[in-house]
Amino acid sequence: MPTFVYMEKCDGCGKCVDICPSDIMHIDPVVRRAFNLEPGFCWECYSCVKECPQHAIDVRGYADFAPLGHSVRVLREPEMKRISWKISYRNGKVKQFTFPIRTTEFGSIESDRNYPVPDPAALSSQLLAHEPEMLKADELPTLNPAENEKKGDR
Amino acid sequence: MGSYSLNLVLVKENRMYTLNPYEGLSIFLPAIGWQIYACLMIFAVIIGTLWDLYYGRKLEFFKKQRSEVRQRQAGRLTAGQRIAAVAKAIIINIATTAEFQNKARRTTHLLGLYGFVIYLISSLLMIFLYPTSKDTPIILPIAWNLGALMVVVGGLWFFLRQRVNVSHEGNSPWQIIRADLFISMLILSSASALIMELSEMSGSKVLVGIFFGLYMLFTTLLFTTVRWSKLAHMFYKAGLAIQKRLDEARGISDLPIPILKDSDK
Repeated sequence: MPTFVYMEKCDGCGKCVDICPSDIMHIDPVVRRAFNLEPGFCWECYSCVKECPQHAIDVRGYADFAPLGHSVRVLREPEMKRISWKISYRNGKVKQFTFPIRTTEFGSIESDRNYPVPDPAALSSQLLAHEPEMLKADELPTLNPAENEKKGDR
Repeated sequence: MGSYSLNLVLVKENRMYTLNPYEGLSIFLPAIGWQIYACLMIFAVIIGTLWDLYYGRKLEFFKKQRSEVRQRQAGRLTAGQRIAAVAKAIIINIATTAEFQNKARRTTHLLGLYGFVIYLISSLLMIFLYPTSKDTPIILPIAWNLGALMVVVGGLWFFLRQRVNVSHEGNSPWQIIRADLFISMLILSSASALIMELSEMSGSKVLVGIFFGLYMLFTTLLFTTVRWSKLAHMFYKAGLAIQKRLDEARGISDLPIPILKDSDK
């Protein structure tokens, strides 16, 4: 079920735009509020639903095969280290769950833009940017092209 | 007595920001003209908001939402509880805009909000109560200048750095969208008012005429484009904040209620 925004609740802070891994949360040019530009491409990860400080983002089924009326609401309380979900079904049934947050503290991961820009020469390296120091390893194994060529000849 | 002598000193030094700016513009528009213009602008804001409420289907949406809320079982509020909820909305949501978590955005919003309100109230008081500068209390022109300056500072800060499509979507600060109509007209109107006043100090009638024309153009656009701009958000957001606080007080919420473990209690 992809996400959508309650425009009257959204205050246009842009947090969903930042967090969306699919880059489909955008800002409406008429009202300057967030909206899901392409629900079909939504990964349904619910990152924006959890991140929204105004609880302005909800989820719903695709209108072409699921009648509307159900909802998924989230209350994230990082200070209490818990997250609660309220699932309302189309038949009126409501289920609520509360889970502990066991993952890395929300918002504590440093943004990519805070890391130094890699050397252009690193493009030809087999390692990803900031490897192996970001993995806290001294060295990572890499392929030896000459050895591979030999193996291929055999 | 103290403020009277201060008034005299400042007037002697030709400090224009202590004089009623509308009186100096009477060569372009007499006092009665300003009063008619102000009434027309107030009328334009009312009509624009009603038009937006009706044709923008905001009224329909609000009515539908309220009928859905009414279907939920909720407790009734006493007069005291209602007053407390409304006071909370006014102090937390409207007067201090505590909803904004981003401090810079909150500061720009407060500068713009209070600047606009101060500028608007002092303008209306000078136009209607003190159409000539001789008896205008010194506080009004100072408030008018201060308000306009706050709008320009807060507005430009918001426009260049805090607009969400610029700060989070990476658009150029110079890319104009329809949502910018209100903020850009507000900045241009306030800035042209301040420059017009500086032109008055310079004594150049040509400059005053040019900036008077620009001031009238931007101010008219600011108040007559409510249907397409975000000016009416001042009323909608305030209304919704009060309604939200009242609903909270009545126990109406679509958010989950955390299921507490014994150890959490």
